[in-house]
Amino acid sequence: MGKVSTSKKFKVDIIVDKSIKDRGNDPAAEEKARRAVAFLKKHGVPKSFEKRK
Amino acid sequence: MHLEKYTAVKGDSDFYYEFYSEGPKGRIRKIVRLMSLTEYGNDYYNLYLGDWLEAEDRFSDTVVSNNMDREKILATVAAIVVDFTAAIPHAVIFAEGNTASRNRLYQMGISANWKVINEYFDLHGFKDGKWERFQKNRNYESFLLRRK
Repeated sequence: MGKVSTSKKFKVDIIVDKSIKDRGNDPAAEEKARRAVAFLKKHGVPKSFEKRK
Repeated sequence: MHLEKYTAVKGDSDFYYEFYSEGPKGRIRKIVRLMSLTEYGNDYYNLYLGDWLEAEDRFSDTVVSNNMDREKILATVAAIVVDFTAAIPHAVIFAEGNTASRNRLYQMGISANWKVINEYFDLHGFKDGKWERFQKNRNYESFLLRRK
């Protein structure tokens, strides 16, 4: 376990704990991702974002 | 910025974080998941904030927990996004609430953290069929951000 990032301005403290396991199998998140893809395909992204695409 | 936040925890993956909301409704396990949107582009990720429902053994992003710590949760999510984009600087993050009220909540969280968000991120909001640079006090349907 250890602290990996701290911004002086934002105090971002994230602890790394190898015992934390992503249980995966998250249908709600997968559905949101599908909707996000559909949205982006339909509406695109701002031009300034396209440069790195 | 000295907004109060929860300490988030992540495991081996840069794509999955957890923290605990604490308030009148008790201790609620929250998860933040950055899901890759490779079908659209390799650098694109969807931001997902959900609750772990122990009794149902599943996550949900439709539960309204009302644990009286909204600002603290949103500041924690902002911190997670800062951490994630430090690990993956080219990431473009898409966020959209399930409902208009959830989007307004995100809007309030962004406004409350605007100083730091504006310093770190290029943030756009989607409104009336088009993307525009984020402006406070406008209600957006969805958000897109990346590191400056």
